[in-house]
Amino acid sequence: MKKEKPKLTRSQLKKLKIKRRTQIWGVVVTLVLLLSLIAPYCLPHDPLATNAQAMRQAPSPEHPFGTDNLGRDVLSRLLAGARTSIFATIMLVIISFMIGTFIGVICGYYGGKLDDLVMRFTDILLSVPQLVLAIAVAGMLGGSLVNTMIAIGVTSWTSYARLARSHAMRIRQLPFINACRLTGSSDANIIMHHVVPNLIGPMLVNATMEIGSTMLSIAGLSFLGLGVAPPTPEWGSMVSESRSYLQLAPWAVFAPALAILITVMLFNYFGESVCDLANSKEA
Amino acid sequence: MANNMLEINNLTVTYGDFKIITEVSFAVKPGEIVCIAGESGCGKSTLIKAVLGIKQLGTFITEGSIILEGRDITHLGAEERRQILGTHIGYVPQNTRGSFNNIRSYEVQYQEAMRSHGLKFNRDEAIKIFNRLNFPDSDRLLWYQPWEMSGGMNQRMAIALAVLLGPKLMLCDEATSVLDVTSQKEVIEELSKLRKELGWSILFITHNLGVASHIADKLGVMYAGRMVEYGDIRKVLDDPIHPYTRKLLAAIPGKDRKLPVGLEGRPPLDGAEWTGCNFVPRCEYCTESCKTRPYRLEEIAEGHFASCSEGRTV
Amino acid sequence: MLKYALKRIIKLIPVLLAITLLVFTLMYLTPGDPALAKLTSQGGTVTPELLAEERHAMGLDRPFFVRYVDWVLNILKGDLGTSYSDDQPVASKLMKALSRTLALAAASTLFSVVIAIPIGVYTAIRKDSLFDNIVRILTFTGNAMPNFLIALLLMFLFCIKIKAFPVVATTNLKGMFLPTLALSIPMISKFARQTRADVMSQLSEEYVIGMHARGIKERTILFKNVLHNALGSIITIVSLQVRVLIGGSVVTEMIFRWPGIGNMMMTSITARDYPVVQGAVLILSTLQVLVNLVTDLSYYIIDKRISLE
Repeated sequence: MKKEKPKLTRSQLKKLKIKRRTQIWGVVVTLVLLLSLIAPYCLPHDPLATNAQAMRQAPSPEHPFGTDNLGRDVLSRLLAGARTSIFATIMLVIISFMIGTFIGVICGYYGGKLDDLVMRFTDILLSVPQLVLAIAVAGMLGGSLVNTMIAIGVTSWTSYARLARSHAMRIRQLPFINACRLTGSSDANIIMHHVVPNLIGPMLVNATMEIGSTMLSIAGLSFLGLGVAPPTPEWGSMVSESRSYLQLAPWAVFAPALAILITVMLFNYFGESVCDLANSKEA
Repeated sequence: MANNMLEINNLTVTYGDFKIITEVSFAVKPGEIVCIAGESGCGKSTLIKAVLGIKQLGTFITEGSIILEGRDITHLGAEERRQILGTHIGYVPQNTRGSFNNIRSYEVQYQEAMRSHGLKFNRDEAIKIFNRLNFPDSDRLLWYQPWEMSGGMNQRMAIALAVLLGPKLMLCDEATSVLDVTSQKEVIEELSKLRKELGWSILFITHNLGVASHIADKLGVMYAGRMVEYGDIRKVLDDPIHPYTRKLLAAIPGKDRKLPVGLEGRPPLDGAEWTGCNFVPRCEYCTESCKTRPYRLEEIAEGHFASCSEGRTV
Repeated sequence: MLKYALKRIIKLIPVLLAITLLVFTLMYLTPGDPALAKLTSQGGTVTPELLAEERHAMGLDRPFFVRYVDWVLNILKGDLGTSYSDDQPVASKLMKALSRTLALAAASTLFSVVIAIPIGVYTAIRKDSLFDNIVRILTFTGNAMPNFLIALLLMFLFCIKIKAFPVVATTNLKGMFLPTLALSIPMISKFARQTRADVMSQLSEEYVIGMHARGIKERTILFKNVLHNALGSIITIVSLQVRVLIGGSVVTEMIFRWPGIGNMMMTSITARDYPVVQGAVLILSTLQVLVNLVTDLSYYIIDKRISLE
């Protein structure tokens, strides 16, 4: 006998579609991450080797993305730079997520003067244009990948802190938290076992949605020459190095720039579908 | 036939994939108030949506017709429909802030409504109507925005605007259901008064039989997409015929402080699709033949229709 | 309204003070000796005696707080110090550049709003149409584009391939075109998406049905009501974008060599010309704060409920 398929309603079908889409983007993003990890070990050419005979060569089978001003293979530099560009982004998101969530939870849970002080501080950080502050910080600290991350991290933790704070304030007022207090649980215990688990979901959704814009910020600073010191390959600084030769070797400029665009788009698609998934579960 | 204000003939309405109303027929005479009662989901609100026929509401008429003052408006085009809405058909929704933009003043919204129909807005005229309806603070009302007012007051502002636009037929969708008793009384009294003075016909949807008995001339009872009983309000309330109507009346809370009987079970979601009687699962009088006998509204007594008279003790 | 505006303006004072403190601290903590930087940038040999003399002349040997108060008092007098590189007053140098940056920012914001809002409204009412789908792909891409990619692409197309514009922007209307366009593309993407989402959520509000039921013209519902109510969140996104715009203009100004404040800031960072960097950060932050103020006031005009909060 043929088993009858259960009839799904429209909303169930939609949920299923959203779930599928999230899974597909999840796989794509994982593949990109894996690729960026493996890539530095299987490069067609040495990304640092300059070659005076092969300067600014147009794309060819030998150099699929051409060569740059110093005769270096653009594809190899692109692959070698992937790890730096992508992992710097993800590390920065994770670190500012953790710091921001920690501060936000403490502020939201305890409230009071500390909360006031921190929130006023974030107000001020938020009223300074992010990239301008980052440029100033990076300019002062000097160009390096870590300094770039610090420069952006100075402001990026605030959005997580604000979000975590509002969640923590809401959760703090739920009846079961009071019940926990009455049974004598310590604050640390309540925070770790009740507050954090209840806000980590929406916080993570927010963090995935921030990956794309964080990557753009890092790329922007690298482009301004405040990122990785040359000759280490990194996408933003590759664009920066080659842009004076835009007319002679456009490939050396556009290959890394497009790599950034595509990666950011992938992460944005992923973030958006994760957000849709979370919303559809809530509904 | 043109002596009817509104005629609903054999109306079948779908929403998305679902059939919500099947073969409903009744008429509203000029100056008459007709109440339609029933549980949530019985299709009574859908009835009003079908009459309004706004495409955003998503209702679709598959069969039957709606006749307004002798004119068939079942499948009217968007622009023609727009012209009769407001000036021929008035509407008071359930959500008290639902019909106005919450953050713009009544003055501009009144103006927009009048101008859309080529009418001139005159502030003094509006204030005269406010006074006639005994609105408090009538000189300043137009300056307010809906969020600054109570639910009842918003509902009354919608009625006042209807007076300005001058429709002959009002559709009230649970218009008093979320109001407190004082506002409820004010709105009901206003509607009764305007019916007398302006000759309004009103189609009043409610689940509150108390309100219905106070205001209506006719009462229709709907169950799972079908009209199961229809007639003069006194006849239906005093001598209910359909088993469902009787149960519904028994469920009205009394003064004896007992919990009302309530109805066991729930109406079937796809009740409008059934061939036989769709009250069968909850009916204590049903017989085998009820499950197959096609639905038909019969005139049991003069001016009193019902689709079933099983178990009726006369 | 006036009372509300005054309250907002008074609230700005501590924020502005805090920003000055932040900027000053940042510069104070910067490694490297400004006196040394100044002497080196002026060339010549630097002896320890010369350095000490210079430090004293610049007031660097005084305690942090004295220097801060002195600096703030000078700002109030309109004095942002003198540039290390050419001994010009920083204030006048920056003001000239600021006007050019403002021209660019204003033009691109205006342009984006004018283009994006009609697109957003149209895609909301024609949801899932071909046009909506095309716009969705374009705006999604525009959102993910680094500033420099847009600017370089435009430069490559218009200056190198078509040769319609010179590579170095002239400070006239023609020269403004490409930088404005470059700054506008990400903004148009954001605004159009936001407008679409807001208009769509407004369209599902009950008052829209209520208005249709009253026979109000579609145009009136859409432009006088739906758009009016959606304007609040559209303004939010515009003001949030100004934050990004101010940053993005640094990159764009650099690529098109537009002599604005962002470009000046980058040159000064490379030259370690701290007073200029300090002044630029301060001016751009103040600009941001003023934009926030205007945003708050316009919320009030759209929705009076705000004043109750």
